Amino acid sequence: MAKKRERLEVIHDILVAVRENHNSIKPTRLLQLSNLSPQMFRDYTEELVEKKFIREETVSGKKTYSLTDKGYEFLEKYKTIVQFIDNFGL
Amino acid sequence: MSSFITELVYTAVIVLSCMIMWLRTQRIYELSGHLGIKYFRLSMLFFGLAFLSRFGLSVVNLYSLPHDYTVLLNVAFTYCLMAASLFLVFSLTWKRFERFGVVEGTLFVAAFVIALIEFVWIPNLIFPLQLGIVGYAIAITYRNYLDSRGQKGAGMRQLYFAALVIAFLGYLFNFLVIYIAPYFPWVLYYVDSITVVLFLILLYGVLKVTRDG
Repeated sequence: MAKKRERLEVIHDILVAVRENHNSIKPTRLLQLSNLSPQMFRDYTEELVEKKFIREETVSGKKTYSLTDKGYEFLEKYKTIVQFIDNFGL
Repeated sequence: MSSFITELVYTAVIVLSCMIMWLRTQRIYELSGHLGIKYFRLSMLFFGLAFLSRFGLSVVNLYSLPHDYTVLLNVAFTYCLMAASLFLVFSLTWKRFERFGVVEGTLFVAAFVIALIEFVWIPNLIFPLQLGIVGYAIAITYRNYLDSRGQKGAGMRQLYFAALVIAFLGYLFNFLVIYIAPYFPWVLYYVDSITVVLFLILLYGVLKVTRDG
């Protein structure tokens, strides 16, 4: 059985999915790529918008998500964060 | 006067190390919101404050300031040292306690109650407690090290384990110093050296990971 993803890993996967889709992705596509249940997906995206990792925009009546500078910074520092947690067993 | 200067240098090294660790981990904590990082940072903050309080006691002695300051600084030292140790262990175990709803407020209260008990009823209570807490942390870090053997990061886990063993020896000698220091004052320098080595190891570990950040 696959190991349950940690919170940080899920956030990382969501942000990577947004970035790899030319930084503009529709919720349905992001839900597919994130491998989460609809409820979990809603919780995560709400949290990410609230914490300003992604922004929600409506273009031609359609909702899309894109990364903010903070979202890019998270991706840039993700390796350091994981390594720190791992090295100190936190 | 020379012992005061030694104390000043000793405090400066430890407080500066704690401050650097606090600052170097700030951004990765802000971005991740990871509770382990938060508790590790709080631990370093309180260690820094504890050693500042200890230095305050040297200042009070040097200038023969009123006894009230000694009392206040002693309580502050015990409180900060307890809080630091509790947060250090909690940074390693918070996931296990999460389901019981243990929150950080509990640790602040526990540290305060212990500081109060030590001041009012049981002098030197902090030493056996610290030995117990650090002993527990050693067991966890050793297990973490065993789990990560052969993987990336195992070296640092081994070093962290070694650092906590050093901390344990430091506390043990500190405990013994209370009873033997009047006859062997030089032992104190060894204890202080052990503490400095401990913080330099921790600083090395933090800087190694965050150097690119």
